[in-house]
Amino acid sequence: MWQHVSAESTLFRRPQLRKERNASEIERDDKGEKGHDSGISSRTGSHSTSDWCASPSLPRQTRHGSVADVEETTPSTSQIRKAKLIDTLKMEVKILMEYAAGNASVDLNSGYVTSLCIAVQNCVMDGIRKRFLGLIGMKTSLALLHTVVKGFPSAQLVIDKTKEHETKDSCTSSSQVRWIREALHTRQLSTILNYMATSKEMHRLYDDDALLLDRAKSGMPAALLLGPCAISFKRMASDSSSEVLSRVEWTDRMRDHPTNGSTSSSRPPLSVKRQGSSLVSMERQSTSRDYVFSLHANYRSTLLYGKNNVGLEDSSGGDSTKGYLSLHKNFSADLTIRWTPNQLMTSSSQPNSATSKDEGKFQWKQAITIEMNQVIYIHLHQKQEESSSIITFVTCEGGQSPPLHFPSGQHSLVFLTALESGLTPLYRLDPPLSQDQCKEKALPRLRRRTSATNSSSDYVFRIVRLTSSAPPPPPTEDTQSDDFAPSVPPSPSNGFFSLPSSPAMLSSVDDLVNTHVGQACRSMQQQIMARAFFGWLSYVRHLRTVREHLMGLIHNKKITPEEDLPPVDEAFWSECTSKRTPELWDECIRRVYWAGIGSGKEEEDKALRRQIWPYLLGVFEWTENPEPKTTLFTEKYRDDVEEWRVLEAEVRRRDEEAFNAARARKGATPIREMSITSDVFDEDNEEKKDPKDQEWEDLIDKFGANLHRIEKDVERCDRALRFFSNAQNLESLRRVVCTYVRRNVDGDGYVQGMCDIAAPLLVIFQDEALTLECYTVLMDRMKENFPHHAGMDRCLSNLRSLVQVVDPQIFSLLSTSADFTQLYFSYRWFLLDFKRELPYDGVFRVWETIWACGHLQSKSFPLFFSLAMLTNYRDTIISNNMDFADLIKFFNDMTARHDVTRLLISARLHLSSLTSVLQTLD
Amino acid sequence: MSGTRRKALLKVIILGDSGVGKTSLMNQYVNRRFSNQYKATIGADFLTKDVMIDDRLVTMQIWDTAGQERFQSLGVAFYRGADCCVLAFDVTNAVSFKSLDSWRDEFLIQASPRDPEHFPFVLLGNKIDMEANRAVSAKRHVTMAQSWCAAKGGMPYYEVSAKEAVNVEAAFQAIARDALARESADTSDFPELENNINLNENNRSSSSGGCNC
Ligand SMILES: Nc1nc2c(ncn2[C@@H]2O[C@H](COP(=O)(O)OP(=O)(O)OP(=O)(O)O)[C@@H](O)[C@H]2O)c(=O)[nH]1
Ligand SMILES: [Mg+2]
Repeated sequence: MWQHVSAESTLFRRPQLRKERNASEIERDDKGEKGHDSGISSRTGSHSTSDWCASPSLPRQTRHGSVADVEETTPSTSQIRKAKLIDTLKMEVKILMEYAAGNASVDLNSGYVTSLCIAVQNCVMDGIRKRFLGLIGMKTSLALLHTVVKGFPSAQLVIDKTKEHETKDSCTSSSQVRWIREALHTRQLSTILNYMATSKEMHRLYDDDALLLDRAKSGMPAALLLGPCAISFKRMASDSSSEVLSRVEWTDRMRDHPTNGSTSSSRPPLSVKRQGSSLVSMERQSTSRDYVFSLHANYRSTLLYGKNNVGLEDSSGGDSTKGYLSLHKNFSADLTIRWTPNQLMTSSSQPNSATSKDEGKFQWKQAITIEMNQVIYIHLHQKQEESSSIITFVTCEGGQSPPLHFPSGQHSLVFLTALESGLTPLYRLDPPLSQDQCKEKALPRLRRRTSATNSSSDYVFRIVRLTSSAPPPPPTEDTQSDDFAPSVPPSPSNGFFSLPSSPAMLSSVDDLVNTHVGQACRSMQQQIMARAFFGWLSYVRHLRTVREHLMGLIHNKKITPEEDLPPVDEAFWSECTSKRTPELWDECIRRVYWAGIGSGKEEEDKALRRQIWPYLLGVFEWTENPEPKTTLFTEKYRDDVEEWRVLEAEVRRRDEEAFNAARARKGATPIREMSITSDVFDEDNEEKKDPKDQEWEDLIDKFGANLHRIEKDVERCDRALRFFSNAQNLESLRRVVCTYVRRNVDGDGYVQGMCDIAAPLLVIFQDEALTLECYTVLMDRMKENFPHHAGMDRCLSNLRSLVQVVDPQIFSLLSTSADFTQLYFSYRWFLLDFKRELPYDGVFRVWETIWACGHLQSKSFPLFFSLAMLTNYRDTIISNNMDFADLIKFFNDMTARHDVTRLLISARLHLSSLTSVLQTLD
Repeated sequence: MSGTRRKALLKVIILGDSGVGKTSLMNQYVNRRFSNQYKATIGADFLTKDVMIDDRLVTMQIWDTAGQERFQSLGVAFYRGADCCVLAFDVTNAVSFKSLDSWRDEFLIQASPRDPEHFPFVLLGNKIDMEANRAVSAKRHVTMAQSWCAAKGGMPYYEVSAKEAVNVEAAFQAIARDALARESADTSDFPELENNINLNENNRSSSSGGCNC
């Protein structure tokens, strides 16, 4: 049967949409019509199912609104454009900030700044009205600045500066963005952009979908530029490099030695094998130089702190060697402390200086690296407040680093400050460094043993991992009133003022940044809380949904998965028929549920099903043989058919009569026919009814109406299937359904679709009487889903509840309407138990699973199968954002193309997981 | 917004008793094919077809629903936003003609279009290839149907055969044209706003404000 599926895919070549109007030839694709018994309507759409899968960005054509523009721009394109602008800006800011972190000051004319300026320019020019620029008569965004000045006078400074430098260095590239550069230099760029995003005067200049008018994004450029505005820029003319007053000695030194490769770039040179007389020295030099370069801020790590002339005490306890101490943070937020002997630094930066091999080796050995994630304690020993101090690191294994000697001054404090800020957000120092009224960091009071005297003091800091629930303690404001707080005089000479990456160093600009960061943190915190709350809320809601709607779906909550049970085969079945024990019945239904009946041989499987199905449906008791009942069934069936044959004959006679009567009226006067209310087709009304005949008349009418409906449907029932291409089988089907309707004459009568349910049974049993018995049992449950009963709404409602619990993303797609109409794609599933969705062998397999599950665990297996149908295609459904019409089309197109085995597995899984949820609820 | 170059979507619903040939008509029109193996429609399905009406490209979305009156309650979901309704009956089946009134009323109730009086309906009498089985003679029949149409606000009537592709193309073309004509009549009710006016006023007020400073 699976060959059918593959054959289907070639049949599925949809006739391409013809646009020519007058191709009137009738096209008959016999292959296409006989290929499969699936709904032929499904092969005739304008796009095939593969379209759904191949192109998720398919233009939307199926809106159920009235005549609608299909070529409207998708709402997201402008959003994408804006997001790109912001992303670029973000990236440029990030690059510049990283660069600035490793450099005392940034050249205003450097490439970093220019790229940032261009990104800013693109943001402010986005969506600007062309006419505006035309009016002003300027082609650049400088025109905007002139407008800004009207409402924001302090921007005049930027205009002045721009004019000033226009004349001075006209040689610089991209003069278009000069004003942006100047605004950055004067630290006004962020405020100017903020003005542009908020002022009504500026909004006039933009189209509706401009970035600066975007509700969510308009504030972002200003916010992003806060950081760059805090950088100290330098205008570096070719002769002014000597003016650089950098406090980061190492950086300066690198700059002073042009032999180290490119001076402007902080990246290590790609090739270092330029000089050197011997291979050995060349190697050593290159490695040592690489090492030294790694100390510098680069793309892999950020330099948080650097200080030379920090002493390292020899392990022997002798005099200390001077070296360069640096603190690095890499991209995974790991901190590394490095100490490099001064000599090694010099030798590597001056490759030509003669250093002997051995000396170099010795110094090389001395260099130390401490990974901060290994450190648990830091000892600080300070003799006096302003005097030199010693820092030792203790690792988690108990090892101790050689003591580091900081020169007098506040150097150790500055180092700790940098370390503390580097540790955030994952770790913190315990106790934290306190902050005094000047917002300078100070050593904590607590651990200070002797605060009043000038004797030496010891501090021990623990490194504590932060959990998200315990935010670092806020800056201690109360130290202001404390006399004993160690007052560290503000030292403007401290070189770290120029390091914007260190948040500890606060200037007025940094202050601004800090308040914004604080706000951002708070709002993030709120969002996290809100999310947690909503998560909890939806969990509770789910439980309620489960409790209220899904509790009753499962009657047996103790079931263990037995995916590897064998199917019911002939050997097992003959054991069953010979013993008929309750244990075998139990095993039989479990086998059917988990593995089905038969082993894939079409005819044998049919024969097995013919025997087992009546037991599954409850037509026979497990303990009884089919024999006595089947004879009864056959006799009763024969009688019933004979009985309604009479009715049928009467109906036929009347049809004939009516037809002839209508023909006879051919020549009737047209006047009567023109009257609007007249029933133009009406047969002659018979007025001679007496009450006894009335009952008979009603019966004939009722049966006649049903008969016509049945015939209409039988004629169209699975004609592509070989079994029903045989007219005799079709007649069998008609007789079965007619007998059913005759027996249930007080029921609903024949409703479209009923014939579809009888057909697979007839194919299996090939016995009208037995088919009818099984059909009757089956219909007892199925008729609830037919119109005018409550079953369908219950199914749709349950499906919706299940989806809500299992896949909220699909649920949000399905819950766009308050009623169940959005779920109508599943109407036919529930009406016919997937009979139209699957090929016949699939129907057999799914039906017996449904019946076995009814005995085993739940009477609602169709629900879980429906859920599997949805979740199986969830990605396609979600990525196409399918609406009502799309879903109907999609599932109609998928007819008979489903992977039944896979769907069954996933349906059983869904059932198992709901079962375990219910178990925990009990 | 010239309107003529827009690609439009026309939602068309086919209604009529079970077995009158709705599914066959839809497939004949969209795929130019007839088969006696179409199954009875359960629920609903639709096909789409792109057509050029004058110089306008129109996508017709044709919805085919189940014909048994029991399934009419589903209609509300499918009829929503329809631009045109095609009523179909079987010329060999008198009952299917009698049901037309109820189909039309049901549609107007469930779809509740903005202007029910002028909502475009089209009537199709199908299976004219079965001349011998006609309940009434062809000539007389046309008169009946036409008088019914005249009573319902003059809806167009076509005699068609899905089986032999008689008149199907022409009928659906006319359906698209009708619905489109109505659509453009609708849009012409709302003339475009001059969007310059506001801007000019703003400019003026702002410049005068500048003088006052
Ligand atoms: N001779 C002839 N038979 C037709 C024609 N159109 C449809 N039929 C037959 O009429 C029967 C019903 O056709 P369908 O298209 O399935 O009818 P429907 O209106 O879709 O019916 P439902 O889906 O039950 O509402 C089928 O057996 C068709 O083969 C036609 O133009 N001529
Ligand atoms: Mg149909």
